[in-house]
This record gives sequence, C-alpha cells and structure tokens, in this order.
Amino acid sequence: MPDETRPSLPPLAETVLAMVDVDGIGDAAQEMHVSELTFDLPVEIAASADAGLVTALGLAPPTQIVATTVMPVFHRLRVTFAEGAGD
Amino acid sequence: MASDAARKGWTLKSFLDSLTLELDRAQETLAVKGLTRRLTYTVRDLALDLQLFPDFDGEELRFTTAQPGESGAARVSLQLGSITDRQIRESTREPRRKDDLAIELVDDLDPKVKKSLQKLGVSSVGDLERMEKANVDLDKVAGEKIDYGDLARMIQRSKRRSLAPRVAGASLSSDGGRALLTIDGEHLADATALPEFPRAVLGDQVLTVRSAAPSALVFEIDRTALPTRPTTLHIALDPYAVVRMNLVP
Repeated sequence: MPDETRPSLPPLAETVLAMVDVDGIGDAAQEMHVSELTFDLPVEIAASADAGLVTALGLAPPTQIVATTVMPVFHRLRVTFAEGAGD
Repeated sequence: MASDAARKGWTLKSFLDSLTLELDRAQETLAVKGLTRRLTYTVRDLALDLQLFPDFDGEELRFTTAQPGESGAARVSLQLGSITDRQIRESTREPRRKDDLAIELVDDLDPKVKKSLQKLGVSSVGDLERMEKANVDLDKVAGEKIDYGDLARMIQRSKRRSLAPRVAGASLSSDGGRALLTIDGEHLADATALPEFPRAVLGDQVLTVRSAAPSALVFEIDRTALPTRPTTLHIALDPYAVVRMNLVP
C-alpha cells in the first residue's frame, strides 16, 4: 500500500537544487563565468492530494527512458537560473 | 472512477501553492549557499507543461496527473517568474485586518451565497464593505438575492460569537447617594454597537449606565432600591449578546 502523503518522486525543491549544484563552474571574480543556466527537460510528476489540496509534490527527470509497452507520462519543465545571491 | 478521480484530484490553486512553496524552499537554500559561495544562482523563472485530466463537478475544477497507459490528457502550461517586492505590493490584496471576518466564517450565510461571493473574489467582510461603497449591485453580479442589511446583521452576529462576552465578577461600591454596580470581564461592551446598548435591568429596575468598556461595565443603582434578596440581572450588551446572572446581596 503506497503512502499517499509522500510523493513517489523526490520533492520538487530537491530536484531543482540538484540542477544548480554547480559549485566550481564559475566564480564572479573570474572574467568568464556562467551567468545563466536553462534546463528544458521531460519530467515525471507525482502530486499527492487530499480533499482537493496538494499534500506533496514530487518531480524528477524520467525514471525510465527505454521504450517499453507502458511508458511513464512525461511532462515538461523549463527552468532558468540566473546568478545572484537571492535577497 | 469519477469518485476516485475526485478523491485524488487537486485544484489548480492548490497545485500552484504547493509549487511556489517548493520553489521558495529552493530559493531559501540557494540564498543560504550565497553566504558561503562567491557565486550562486537563483531561480529566475520556471515553466511546466503538464499532462492532466480535468474533472469538473459543477462547482470546482480539479485535475489529476495522467498516469502511464492513459491517453487523451489535456496539456496545461504555466509559467512562474520572479516578481519584485514592488510588484507584490501592487498586485496583492491588502492583508486582512485583525477585526475583519472571513466570509467563510459567517455561520448564518446561505452556502450558495457564500460560494457566489467567493467566486466574485469577495472573501472577507472588508471586501464586501468595499463593494457596498462602490455601489455594486451584488444581486445582479452574483445571481443570488443578497441584502446588504441582512448580511451586516449576520456578520455582526458572527463577529459577536467570535468575541463572546465573559463575566469575571460583579461588585458593589458607593458614590454619594448612588450605588455603583461594576461588572468585570472581557468583550463586554462593543464600541461598534448601537448607542442604546448596553442596557441592564435588575429585577424590574432599569439601571443607568455610568460607563461601558470591553473590560468593565458600571451601572448606577438608587441606594433605596438595592435588592435585599437574590435578584436577576439582565444585561443586553448588543442585539446579539445578553448576559443573565443572579446577584446575591
């Protein structure tokens, strides 16, 4: 019996943070650095809900890429990261 | 099948709330990283193309994500962009005032009228007051019979329930030829109540109000008319709150 309060995929925040875990690819002190990163990729989404409210939102790149009889449903995510330290 | 979809379905607002919550978590973590790294990144914008099945029960539109093997899903695209503090101030409604009341909490209001008002974006009594000031004919817009006067009475009653009076004690003191009956407590007098309130009757004697505040009411009693046996005191604080107690000499 799956636990419906937890998504079967990692929380969206964890996936997004993993995408931008790019320590070492740029440094503001150097002349050249990465100022913007854009990802456009298929993703799987698991939204657990109770009484119309989303209780957990999981999102991750496809867990399966080899074509089989039943493929996961691929949604699309585009996310752009820009340099900056937030606020 | 429909009931299963309804059970697992979610509203778009709830999905967006959850999405922005996850993004806020990510942004907060990135902001913390920014304290220790010379260069870090923030999420500038994010877009999702979702494969969903909508389900409309006549009142609410809910979605379920397409599952493996299912076909014919609708595509719903959404884009979230970062907005500035100034944009937030300009595009967000004012926070609800402390003394405001959510329409949801007005007990006596017909659920159909509640839903009609909420569909119009009227979620609090403050919103309703703005509508009344703007002279909006809600009957026509909402398609329901809405009487501002009836509504105001229901709202006052609900407000009173949420601020129910509490009596902590009663005491007698003298002031010249008059006796003063002081009732201590909480939420006793309501500044917004009609001017004829509070009113008090001790036995069959109507008392004169000396002062009325939320924490204390003071009534004047003619010394010669002080009761000599247990007598009932009725105090009407406003049209929706009446306190009754027995005073024992």
